[in-house]
Amino acid sequence: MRNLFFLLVLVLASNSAYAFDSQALWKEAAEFYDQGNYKAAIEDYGTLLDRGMESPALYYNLGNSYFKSGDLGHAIWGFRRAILLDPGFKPAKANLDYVRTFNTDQIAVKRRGFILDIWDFLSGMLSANGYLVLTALAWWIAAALIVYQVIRMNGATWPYYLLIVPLVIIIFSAGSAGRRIHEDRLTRWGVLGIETADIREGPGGEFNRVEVAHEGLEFKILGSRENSYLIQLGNGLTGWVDKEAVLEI
Amino acid sequence: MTGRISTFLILLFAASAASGATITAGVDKQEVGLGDPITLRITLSGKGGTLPEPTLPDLSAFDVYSSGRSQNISIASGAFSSTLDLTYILIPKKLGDLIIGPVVVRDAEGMASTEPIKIKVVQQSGINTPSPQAQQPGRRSQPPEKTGDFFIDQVVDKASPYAGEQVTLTFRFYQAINLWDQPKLEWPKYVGFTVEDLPPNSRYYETVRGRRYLVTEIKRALFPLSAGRITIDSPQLTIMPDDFGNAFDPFGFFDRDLRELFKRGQPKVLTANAIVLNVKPLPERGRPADFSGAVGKFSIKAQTDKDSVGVDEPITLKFVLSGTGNIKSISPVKLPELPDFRVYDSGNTESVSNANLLVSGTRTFEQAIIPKTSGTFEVPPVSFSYFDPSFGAYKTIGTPPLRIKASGEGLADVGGAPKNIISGKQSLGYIITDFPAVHKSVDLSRSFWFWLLQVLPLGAVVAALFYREHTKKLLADRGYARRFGAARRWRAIFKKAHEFMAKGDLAASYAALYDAVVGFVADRLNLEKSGLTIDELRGKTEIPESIRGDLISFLEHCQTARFSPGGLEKGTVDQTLARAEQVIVILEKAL
Repeated sequence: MRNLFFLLVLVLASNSAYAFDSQALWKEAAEFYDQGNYKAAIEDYGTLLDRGMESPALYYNLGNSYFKSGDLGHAIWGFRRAILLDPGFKPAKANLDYVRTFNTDQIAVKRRGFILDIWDFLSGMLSANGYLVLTALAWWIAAALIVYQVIRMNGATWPYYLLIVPLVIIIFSAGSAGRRIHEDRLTRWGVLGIETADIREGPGGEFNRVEVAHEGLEFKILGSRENSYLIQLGNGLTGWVDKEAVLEI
Repeated sequence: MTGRISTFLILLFAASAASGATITAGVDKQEVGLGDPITLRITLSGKGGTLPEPTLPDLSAFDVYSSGRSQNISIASGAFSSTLDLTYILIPKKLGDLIIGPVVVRDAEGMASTEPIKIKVVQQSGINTPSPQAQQPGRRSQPPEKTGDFFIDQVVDKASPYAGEQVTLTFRFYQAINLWDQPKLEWPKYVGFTVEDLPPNSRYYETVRGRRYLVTEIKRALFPLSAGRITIDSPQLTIMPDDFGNAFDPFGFFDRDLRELFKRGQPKVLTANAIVLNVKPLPERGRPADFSGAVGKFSIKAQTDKDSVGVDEPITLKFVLSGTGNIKSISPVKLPELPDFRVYDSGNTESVSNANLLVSGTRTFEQAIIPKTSGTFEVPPVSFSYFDPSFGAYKTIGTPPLRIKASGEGLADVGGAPKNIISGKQSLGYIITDFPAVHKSVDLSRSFWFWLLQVLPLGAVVAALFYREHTKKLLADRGYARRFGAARRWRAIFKKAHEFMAKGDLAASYAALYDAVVGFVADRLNLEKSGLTIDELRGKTEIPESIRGDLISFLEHCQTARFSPGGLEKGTVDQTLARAEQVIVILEKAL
């Protein structure tokens, strides 16, 4: 019993020392950042990552440090990791928008037609959770209207017309939620981490070059073979890129 | 060719932009004589640094020669766009209306094509008399040694060229009588050379040893790849002579042997003598260190699209090498180191022209360069060495240095500042200094409680539907309504019986109990309560035999007590109340 007590005290003490150490590292990284020593800040934040710390704020700070040290690809990777963990993280979104303006490759997103473009815009406004909550609210309202109409039995038609509103919201928000879940959690994303890399027709240097990609270019990862990823850009262009050039988000 | 393009008259302009690329095609004339050249120009433009290769239509009605290709890449606002110009010389092989079908280009976004172009081919507009080209290199000064109705001949303009120097080969087909079909020309493989066509072909009359021939002349540029004795093999021309008569004597038919009728259209293969070139090596003496094998006459220039930019703003830096020689085989120019810039290779483009029987062109080496910091920077000179065969010596040319001024703040500038140095609408948000709490990401799509909550409205809807059906049945089915209300009613009467008992009116209490039980049975069996007597109940087989006895006994007890109240005590009534409840509970289960 006494041994167990000592063991418990030891575990608690080591945990608190670990937490204290992490907090000290966090503070030190911020000081390095303020001094303009971004490489040292990146090292400290990297140590926290190695310790298993998963936090949107950590990736956000890493993104800032990478950007200020001139590493655009890693900066975009950091901000996107932060948003992946917390889709409502506005500072990360704002910084991501900002650093993207430094991209050499400004890829125009492929237009899909008026209706689909509106759908793309609307389905990107909220996170997956946001759309799920919206779907749930609309579903509750729709159910309440149905219950009212069933119970009243007075043959009034207005609840049916009113029902159209939550049903449309349900269809839209459920579709958007599905899309967000697919894009945020099931789709693999990558960003180019080196200055330039060739996008080729096949997985290897012997294939023809399709395009030259520059640091910070973001893309979907569709698959991989040998040492290459099959990627798709926002404009629909697909090709193969060396794995070493890619930071998977 | 440059002059030709500058005066190029696009008579027909057909364009399409169905996909990401735009393609146009045009010809310089739509009505030509048989054998006269037509220039077909195809222009392809689109986004990105690489354009898809267009697919030419079936041009079997023409002899086709590639006459030039040039590609330009431009960067605007960080986006690449390219234009590819292709020029072909088409020589119609037959009379009538010919169609140049749609030129098609396919890319990831779809397909684009041009409209078909109609060409009217009329009888020879007038066969050339010996043209000015007859004085060009390759024109023979001595008449050919061969004779007969047909023969071919090939000559070169120089027998001892330098390796890499252009040798112009002239092929001629002499024909004294008509052909039954179009001749088929098969070129040799030209091992040890690279080859360029030198269109257009020419046709003229020439008298050889007193006989008049129609001569078709084709020229090609050969570039020997190495020094030594290299043989140019003979081409093979397969012809089908029209043996009915000669080309220039319509009555010659009558002079022919009738047996020759059966020889009509027999194919004949014509060959010429092979030519041996003594290719001289490039001299070792005076060879510059940066010489990479270019032979010809060249010039080089460096240019930028702007010389004053903001930091992180791209500049297009071009080194343009132009001149005569085998421009396609020239190694890329060694571009200078630019440590103050981020350098992105935008690719090389080339434009080849075969005008005036000389292969010439332009090669552009293009880079997008982005200043890393503010300041004034210099793009150092670039040199290029080549061997000029006309002088038999090497020459080195170069570009002057270029100055570029970069101002403002960019990625590297902000890197040196602690926080939020960039002013204006957009800036980099500052880091988070508070140690973050443990991140708990809630994924509603995987939350059991979230989905359970979504089932509740469904339950409410189902309940509402049951309620609706129940209400409808209550209104429509009296028996159902009585059965449904029976329990409520006997409870009300029981309550009354309790009240009577509390007041001491035991008879009324028994009467209420009797009414409650009989009323309950009547409701459950949907009978009229008023006429329901104990005797009638005895005969009701709907009531199970086991219960019926108890029920009758209870009701008789109530009747007896009701009409002889004097013998009743409060305790007995309590027992009766309890018994009544038992009876109804049993009846509720049974009925």
